[in-house]
Amino acid sequence: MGDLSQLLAWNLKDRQKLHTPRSGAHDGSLMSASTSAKPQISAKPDWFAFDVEQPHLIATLCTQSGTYHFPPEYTMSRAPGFADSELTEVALSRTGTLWSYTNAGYAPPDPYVQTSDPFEPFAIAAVELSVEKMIVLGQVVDGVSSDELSVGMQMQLVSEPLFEDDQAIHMIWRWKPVEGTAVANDATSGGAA
Amino acid sequence: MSARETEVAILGVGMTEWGKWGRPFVEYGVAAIREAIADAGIDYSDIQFVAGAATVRNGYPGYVAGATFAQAMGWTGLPISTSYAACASGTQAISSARAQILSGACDVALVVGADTTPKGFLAPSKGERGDDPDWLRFRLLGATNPTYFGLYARRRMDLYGATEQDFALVKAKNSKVGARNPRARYKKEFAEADVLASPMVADPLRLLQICATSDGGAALVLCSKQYAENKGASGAVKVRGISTVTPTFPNAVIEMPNFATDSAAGVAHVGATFRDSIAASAYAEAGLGPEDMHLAEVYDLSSALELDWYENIGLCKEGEAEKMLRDGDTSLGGKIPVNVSGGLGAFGEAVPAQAIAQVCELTWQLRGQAGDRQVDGAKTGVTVNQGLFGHGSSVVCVR
Repeated sequence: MGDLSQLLAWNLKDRQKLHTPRSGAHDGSLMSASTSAKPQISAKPDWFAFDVEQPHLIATLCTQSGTYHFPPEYTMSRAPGFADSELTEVALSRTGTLWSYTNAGYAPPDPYVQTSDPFEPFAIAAVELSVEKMIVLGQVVDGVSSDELSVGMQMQLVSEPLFEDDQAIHMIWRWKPVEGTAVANDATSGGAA
Repeated sequence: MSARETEVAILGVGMTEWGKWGRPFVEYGVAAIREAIADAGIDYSDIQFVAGAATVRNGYPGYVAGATFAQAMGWTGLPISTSYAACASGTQAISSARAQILSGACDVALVVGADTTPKGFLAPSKGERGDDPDWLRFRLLGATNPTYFGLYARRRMDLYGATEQDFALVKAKNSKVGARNPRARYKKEFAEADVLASPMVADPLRLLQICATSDGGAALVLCSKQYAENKGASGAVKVRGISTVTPTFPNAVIEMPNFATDSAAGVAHVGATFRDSIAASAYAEAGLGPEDMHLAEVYDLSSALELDWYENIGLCKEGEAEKMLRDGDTSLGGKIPVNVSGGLGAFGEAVPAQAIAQVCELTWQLRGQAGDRQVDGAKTGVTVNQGLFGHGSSVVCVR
């Protein structure tokens, strides 16, 4: 797995640049954010590299065992028996398979920052990454409701504004369905019955 | 199984009615303590150890539950412990008290947990805590507790063909017995149609399928078997097995409040999943198995989650929970009734009290004191519960 870490490692410093947002990535009440001259920054720079072409989650890889850690762990590998292994920063895969999903039908409490009034429900996805063999949560892109999702869909990691304050637009990772990968609900729910 | 002694006697139990009273949590705890002590037929001055289950959401007093209750009952100088394990706090307090008794450090101990909850979603305390996943999941994902319940429920639908009707049926089943429980917060029977007409909170879960947050308190008086015998209570209900296990690496289930599971890319998981291991550990300590149980109190944070627990505690095989439910196996009068207290659906969460409350219900049931929700001839029972951050919790009781 050590070789794989080399392949997957990004030069993270080069990727911590500020960019303009993807056009059409957001709308509604956040339209003002997209036209704002404020800088766009990662809402969580140590976990999420905001990069207009290749936004990605930052993980660490225990090079001896091949275990990934997200959020990144720098102190010690959590894989039992690999306490002395090196931990290398890597980018997590930007595509995965929808493991499950839900939505927020009511506004979450603080410290969630509500960006529309009245509150608009949004979907949340749990996406399984095949290389890393782990499931990562994320909001689903604006404009895609939970009704449009089905387990088994392919999902792509993109970046959208999470909220805006006086200083900046805070960008976050979101999962976006890859067109044409929807799995019919009948097929998935019937499979294990 | 080793010859190690695992049993302590439950000499007394006490529990408040649960609700949204808005009183300080200490009042609920004291009420539960007084009932438990009276039930035990002893005096507070007989208590030699207090094990408190902590709540961290109500500020300073909550962090020091053991001392808070020792002070409220009038200082007697006795030693205490305070346990925090989120929803599993109560079981850790029971475990702490039992360890004191089994070691011979004391003969009789009090276990208590109580809470006052705010309205609405459970939420982090105020302040910027950008290194704390439990704060960050709200800020970065807007992920409340029901978010995780929704993910499990949707997964269950996909894997096993569970339907919204099944989840509604769980609520209807539990509300029927909850309506008969004088200590339940919601004493109303809901039909499946009522449940399915309630608003969506976390797709596919609706308001009536997600447990509320409640005020309440519960307490136990635990003692050595010798002490019980001296009190003429050798036939008391016994705690025979306790589990406070944590996951093994890599844990493949997305757990509250995490952003991701462990990675299984480097090290394969061996053995039981975390949830399967929780009751299994208590069964092993008790020298019993799921086939020996007469009833179960499981942690129905959502009605869908109750179905997961049927499988996780060994009542049926994976994917068969819906059939058990539909066949009435887990209803009062069925093969293995589940949540005849009404469960969290009828009580709501009072975090430090609820694992203790589950044991109170088993005690009443095993004593034959559960009135019109009594499981006929119940002599054994199991509780299961899980606290966020990776706290397993299960208790096996016998009579």
